Amino acid sequence: MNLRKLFKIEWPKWKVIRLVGNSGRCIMDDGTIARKISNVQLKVGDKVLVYLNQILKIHVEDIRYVPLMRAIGELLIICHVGDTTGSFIKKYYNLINSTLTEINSLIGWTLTDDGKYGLIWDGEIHDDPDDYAYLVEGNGMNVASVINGMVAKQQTGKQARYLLNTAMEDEIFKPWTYQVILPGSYDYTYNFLQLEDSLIFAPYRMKSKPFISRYVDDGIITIPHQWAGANGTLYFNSYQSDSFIDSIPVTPRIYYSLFDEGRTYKEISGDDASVGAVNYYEDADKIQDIIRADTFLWYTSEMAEPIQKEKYSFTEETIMGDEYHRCSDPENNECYFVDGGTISGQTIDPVTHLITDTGLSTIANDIKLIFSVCEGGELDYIRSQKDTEMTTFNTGVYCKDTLIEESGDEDIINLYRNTPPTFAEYNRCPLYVRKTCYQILQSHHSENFDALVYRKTKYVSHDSELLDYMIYRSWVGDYVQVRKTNIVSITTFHIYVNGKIHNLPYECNNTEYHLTGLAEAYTGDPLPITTYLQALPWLDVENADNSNITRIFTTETKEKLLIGLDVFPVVFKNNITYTLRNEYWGYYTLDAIYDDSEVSFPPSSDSTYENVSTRKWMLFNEQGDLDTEITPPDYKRINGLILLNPKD
Amino acid sequence: MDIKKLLKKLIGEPFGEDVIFIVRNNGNHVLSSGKVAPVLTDERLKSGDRVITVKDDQGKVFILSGKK
Repeated sequence: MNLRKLFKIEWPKWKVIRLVGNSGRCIMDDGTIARKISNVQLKVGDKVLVYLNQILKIHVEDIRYVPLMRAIGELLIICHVGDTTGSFIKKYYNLINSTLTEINSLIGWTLTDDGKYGLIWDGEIHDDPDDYAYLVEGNGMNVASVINGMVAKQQTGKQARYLLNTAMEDEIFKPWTYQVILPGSYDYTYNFLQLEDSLIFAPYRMKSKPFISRYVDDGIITIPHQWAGANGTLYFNSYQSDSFIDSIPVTPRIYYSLFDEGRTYKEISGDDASVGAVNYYEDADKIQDIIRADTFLWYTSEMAEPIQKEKYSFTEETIMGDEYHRCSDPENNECYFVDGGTISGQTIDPVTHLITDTGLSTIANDIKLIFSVCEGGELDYIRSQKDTEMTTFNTGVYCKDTLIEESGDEDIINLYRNTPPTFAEYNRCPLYVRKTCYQILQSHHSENFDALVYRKTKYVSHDSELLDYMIYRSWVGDYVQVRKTNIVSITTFHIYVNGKIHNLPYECNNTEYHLTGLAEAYTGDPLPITTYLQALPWLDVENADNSNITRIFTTETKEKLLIGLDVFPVVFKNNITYTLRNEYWGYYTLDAIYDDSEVSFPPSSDSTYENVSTRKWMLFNEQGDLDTEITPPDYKRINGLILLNPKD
Repeated sequence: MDIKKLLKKLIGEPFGEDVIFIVRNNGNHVLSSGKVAPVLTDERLKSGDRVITVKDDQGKVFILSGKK
C-alpha cells in the first residue's frame, strides 16, 4: 500500500443494491461490487452501508422480529427532605426519563456521604464549624455542610463520595427596621420592606456566594459559612462597603480535609475575619491553590474595597499574593474607596444609599460586581457601565467572563432634580431611576456546564402625588409640601445554560415608593409633619400572583445538569401612616408601616410560607436545551440534592 | 507509539466502541456517549451491552454489532 492510499480516508457510504448474486456478492447502484459479511438476507432495493466493498449489515440468529424491552436508563438522585429547612431525611430515587421512583436499596452502589448537616446553634459563635453539634452525619468524613446550593462529588461509576449542600434563601425584599428617637425620650421603631433589586436605591449592590466544597485528589476543600447571633443566622459582613450595600458573607477560614487523616482539618487561612466574597480552586502542576477575594482596611474600618484576591498554596501554606479590583481601571485608585458616605467625592448617603449628586461623579464608569470566581479565574458578575454625568447606564450579566445579557445604554430617569445643585442637604436630592437591574442568584460551573440563575428587574412606569402634609426644609427656609412618588417595576427570572437563556414563567410586580419635599415653600395649611421616611424607598407587592424563586440547587452528571428551585408567593404591603408621636412636643410623623395582617414581619420564604407554590426540577443537556422537567418529590422542603449517573 | 496506531490516528477510523444506555423498540438506541444510533444488526441488544459502532461518510453513528 502506498502512502497516498494509506492516508486517504475512506468512510462507509450508503448504497442501494441493484442485484443480489448467489455467492453473496451484490452489484450496487454506483456499479461497484460489495459482499455481505454474514448470512444476512439481502434483496434488491435494500439501502446498505458499504465499507471497503463490504456490506455492513449483520445477521446473528434469525430474522424474526425480536421485541426489544425498554431498558432502564436510570440516574440516581439523593435528597434531603423534610417539613422544614432543618429536616434531613435522606431519600433515594431512580430517575427514568422524567419519572422519579423512590428506592430503598442501592444494589451495586458504594456511596459515602462526607457531610454533616443541620447545625445546632448553641448561642455561641465558634470559628471552627466542628465546634457545633449537628443533627445528622453521613457515613464519611463528617465535613460541616456548606450552603452554596452546589453539590460536591467524586465519582467513578457506582462508587461515589459526596457532600449534599444546602441552598440559601434568596429573598426579593430587604427587611428594614428603623428606630427613631425624638426629644423627650420618645422613641419608636417601625418596620418596612425594600426591594432587593431597587431601581432607585444602592445601584452598586454586590452579592456573592463564597462558600465552597470541592473534592480534590486527596481530600475535600471547604470554605464553610460562619454563623452569628440568635438562632445561628448567617453572618454577613456589610460594614466594609456600606455605600455599596454589599452583602458579603464572612468566610474566615479555608479547610483542607485529607482522606487519609480522617476528619483532621488543615486550616489554611486562620482567623482573618475580613475575608469575604468569592473564591476558586485550581489544580495546576499538583499545586493546589485557593483564590478568594478579600477586603482590606483603609485607615479605619470604613474602608471598603472588597476585591483583593489572595492566592493560597496548600503545599506551601502561604499566601502567594495577587489582587484585582472592582473597578475596571486599576490605575484609578480613587474608585476603590468608600469612606464616610462618599465615593471619591461622590455623595452616596450612608442611610438612604441614594446617589444625591451625579454632576461631578468620580464613581468609576465601569464596575464589576462579582458573584463568583470560576476555577480558571474567570468571573461571574454584574457589570455596570455609565457615562461620567450618569445620564445613561448599561448593566449586564456575565457568566465566566462572557456576556449573557445586557440592558444596553439606557437613559437614567432623572426626577425632581433641583438645579443648580447648590444646597448640601441630602434630602433635597433628585431621584435617579435606573431602568434595569440584574441579580445573580446561583452559578454552576463544571467540565460540561456553565450555568447561572438570575433575575431581572425592569422599569415599567412612575407617577407621583402631593400629600396633604408639609415638612420643614432648611434649604428652602420654610415648610414644603410632601410628594410621594411611585416607581413600578417587574422582576422576572431566568436560567442560562451553556449559551442559552430560558425564561421562567414567574414574575413579581413591584411598586417602590419614595417621599420628597418640594423645592418651594408651601402656602397651604396642611398638617406639619416629621418623617424619617424621607428619601428612604419602600416597597409594596400586593398582587397575589407575584412570585419569587429561591432555594436553588444545581447538580450535574457528565451529560445532564439538574437545576431545582422552589417558587414562593410574595404578598405584602406597607401602609403609610400619620401618627402623633409626642403630644407634648407636637410631633407628627409620616411612616410606612409594614402591614402584618396577613404575613408577619419580616416575611420570609423559608419561615412564612410553609408550602412552596411550585417546585421545578429541570434537566438540561450539554447544548443548553431543556431536556425534560421532572416531577419532584412532594415534601415541604428539599434540603440537599445530588444527581448521579452510574456510567460517569 | 506504534506506527500503525499513529497512522490510524492520522487517517481516522470509522469504527468505535460504545455502550448501550437505553434500548428503544424502533432500533434507535441511545448510547452512553449520548448519541442516538440505529442498529445495522438484528442481534438482541440490551442496556449495558458493549457495541461496535461505525460512522458513515456524513459522520452519523450506527451500531454495527454487539461486542462479545
